Amino acid sequence: MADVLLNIGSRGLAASHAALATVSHNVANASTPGYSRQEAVLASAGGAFEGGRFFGRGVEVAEVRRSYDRFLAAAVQSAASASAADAARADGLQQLDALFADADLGLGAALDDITGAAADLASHPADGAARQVFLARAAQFADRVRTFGRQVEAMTRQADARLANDARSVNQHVETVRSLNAVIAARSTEAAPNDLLDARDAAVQSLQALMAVQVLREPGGGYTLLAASGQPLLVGPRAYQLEAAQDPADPSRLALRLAGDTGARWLDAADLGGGRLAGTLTLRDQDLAAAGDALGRLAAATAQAFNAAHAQGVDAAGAAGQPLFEVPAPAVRGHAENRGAAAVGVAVTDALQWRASAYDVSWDGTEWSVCRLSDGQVRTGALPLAVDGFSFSVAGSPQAGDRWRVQPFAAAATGLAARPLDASQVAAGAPGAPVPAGDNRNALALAKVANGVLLDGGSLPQAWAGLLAEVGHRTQAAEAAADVSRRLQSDAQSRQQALAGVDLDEEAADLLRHQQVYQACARIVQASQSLFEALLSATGR
Amino acid sequence: MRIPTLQAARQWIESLSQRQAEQARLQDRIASGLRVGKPSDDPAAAAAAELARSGLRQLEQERRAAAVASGALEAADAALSRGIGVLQSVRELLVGAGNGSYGPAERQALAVQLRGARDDLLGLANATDPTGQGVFGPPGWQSAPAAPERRAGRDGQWLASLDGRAVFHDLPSGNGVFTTASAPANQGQGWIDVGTVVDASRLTSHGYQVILGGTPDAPTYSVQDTTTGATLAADQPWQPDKPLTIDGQQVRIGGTPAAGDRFTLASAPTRSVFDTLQDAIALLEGSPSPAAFHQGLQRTQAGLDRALDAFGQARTRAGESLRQVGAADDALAQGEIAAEAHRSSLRDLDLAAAIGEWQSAQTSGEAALRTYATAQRRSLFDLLG
Repeated sequence: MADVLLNIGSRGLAASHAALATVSHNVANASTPGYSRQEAVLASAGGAFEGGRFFGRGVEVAEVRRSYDRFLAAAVQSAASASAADAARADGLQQLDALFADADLGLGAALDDITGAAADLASHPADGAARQVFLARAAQFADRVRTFGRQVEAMTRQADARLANDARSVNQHVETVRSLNAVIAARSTEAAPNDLLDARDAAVQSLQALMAVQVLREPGGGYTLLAASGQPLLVGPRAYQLEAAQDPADPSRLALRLAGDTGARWLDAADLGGGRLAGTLTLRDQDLAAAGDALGRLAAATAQAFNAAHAQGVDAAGAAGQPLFEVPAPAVRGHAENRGAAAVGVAVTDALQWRASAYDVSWDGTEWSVCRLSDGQVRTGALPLAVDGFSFSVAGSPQAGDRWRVQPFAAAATGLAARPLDASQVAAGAPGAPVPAGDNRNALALAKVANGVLLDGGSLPQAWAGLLAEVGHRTQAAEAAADVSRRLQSDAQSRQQALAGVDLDEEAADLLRHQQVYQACARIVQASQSLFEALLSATGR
Repeated sequence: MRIPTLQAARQWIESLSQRQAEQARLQDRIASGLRVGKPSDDPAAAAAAELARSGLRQLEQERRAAAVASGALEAADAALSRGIGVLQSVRELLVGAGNGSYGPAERQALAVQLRGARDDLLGLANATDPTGQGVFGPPGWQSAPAAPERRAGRDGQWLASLDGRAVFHDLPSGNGVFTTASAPANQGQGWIDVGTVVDASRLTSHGYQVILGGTPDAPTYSVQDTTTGATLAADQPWQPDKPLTIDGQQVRIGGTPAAGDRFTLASAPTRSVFDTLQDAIALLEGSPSPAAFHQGLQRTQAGLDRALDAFGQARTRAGESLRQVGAADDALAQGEIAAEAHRSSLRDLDLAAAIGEWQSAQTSGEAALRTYATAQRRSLFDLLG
């Protein structure tokens, strides 16, 4: 009988000790992010049939259970994914927004300076200094355009660098999950390895912050990871690499490529579904591209209008005005996988119809299509085809599936230059003026260029103001979206933590409780000891 | 719902950092004084403020152009008024020269004065405005075939220089319509006056010749149209100073012409005021016959009258334009004030409201800090032995 007491007592001690150890583990990890509260679940050790009765045999630790709900965890992960994507986009747009903040350093102010210099030239046509100032203001405009263009280009480069870095991080996290899968599978036959499971979930959480993944549970306890559009990232022991490589459509930037069993596949923002990679891609391909195209279009339209107006006049020697600005030509790049031998050309037909966009020209075997990338509108037909003020033409024979990326304005934003003219070459006079150096009629015309109808049915200053408004709207929208998704993430986290988080007060109460049980069980051992001694003293000498 | 320790701390830190971000944003606004600093603060207002700024620049530019135009016109007015004074004094001197009592010495002295006057006018023709540009045309306008007026202002609505050729050079001679002359081979002492137009509807641009004939007791005259060859009048009786009307033009021949003397009428070519003055100087310095002197004097006086007409007209024009520029400048000044106010209303911060907002944000921030400090200090562990 005494050994039963001793057994029950020692079992109770062991169980209480285990419970205390679990509570201590919880307390120690109260501030550990990603930790799920553990609980030693005690169960009765059953009964033994003795003497016609069932007598209880004490307590045992049935399991150490992790407070975990996979649906809550999944909700936190997908909210984190969305929040990371929105935050990446909002951050990038805030940087872009700050670029346009100072009105006196903007293109509108530079344009006003040129107009002012032309008007001053009209007031003093014979003054060499006024001519010099006009040329200087034109150069200043070109400088400022290049500054803006280069800043946007630098942000695009930063985005590319982030893509490369984050792709490497994705691979590291997938590798972590893979190795944890192996260890967990090995240990799961015995009991749930709670802390390894927490570690694996933390790795998946980090991965979700970079790109949205679907997590499937294998029967053996392993995780299978798929990209949002279904491509496998981790299946069993096999991990597929994600890398940032040169975009075949546009060698100047990077694109994401996921290795696969049937070949690599290029992922765009929709395929990624969320996470910082998707946010960065959206920022680069939609927001920064739109800003670059809009700046380039404004620069090209301004240069073209001033060149045309300047050519209408005569300089101090009576010669016709030479162009004021040098505008880089539209860039056409063939896709790296093109198999035909054709070259697509693009020429300017009507600057009034220009839209701020790049274009994709493709041949499907029967007809050509020109797709405007800013809004996805497609025009089909035979080349030469006139679209948005450009004429697209082809020379040579293409193969079905060949495509070209046409960027009419990207180079203008980074490469606009003022030509090095002499002060006497400023065409301030009208043709046929008896004294060309003193005539100011073309200078008056130059002063009116900026306010003519040139872009989107409005003037150049209106186009600039429109660009400011567009950047402001995008930034506001992105900030609002980031705010909402951050709140949703916080909310999901609260709910998950309500289940899995450690409350120190609760642990203190449990500590007290288990301590008391431990002390009580110690008393039982003491009691069994005294029973044994009583028995010994009763039977022994 | 359980609020675990870590979550409680997280939530509090998140709300604290949000408050701090909000305060920083308010401070930024107060420091810059702008409600719309970046486009994202208010995209529509940012675009409208940018257009307002551009409009303000244009108004400033217009005012500069108006200032240049009014400076030029004032300089033109001053130059023309001095020119009129010079011409009027020359006119008076020439009237005096018509007085028969002037001898060669007086005429020589008069010629010197006229030379001085001519130089004055040459100087005035090259007058410049405060910016150093020619008032009557660009540099070198005197030898150019034309000197178009320079205009200023965005639509070229203001005059900024006058047509120098119209004022100084392309002046009609004679009476403005036709000139008269004696043929050089005339033997007699007759002279023909400048002539007047009595019937403008009968004017042709033909040349005419009046030939005197007959005898000293019964002089006659004939009129021939030298352009068509037609004879308009033949051997009509004539006496000195009889008004002869030829196709709307009326002339008188006076003095004592001889038979066979011819006098011509022709369309008036243009002659510059300098040439007119030069004619007067040559007349005074030379020794022409009394008839030629009388005739020449009349010619130069007519030339000076035409010059005075031109100067007067130009001065009126300059005055009108100056008034126009002045009125426009006033309107522009008003426009500048309105545009500045509009831009300010779009962009600027209501400082009082912003400071109030910032202060209340500070107060609630402090309250949050205090509650956290109190609530988070105690846990059950502190109370357990």
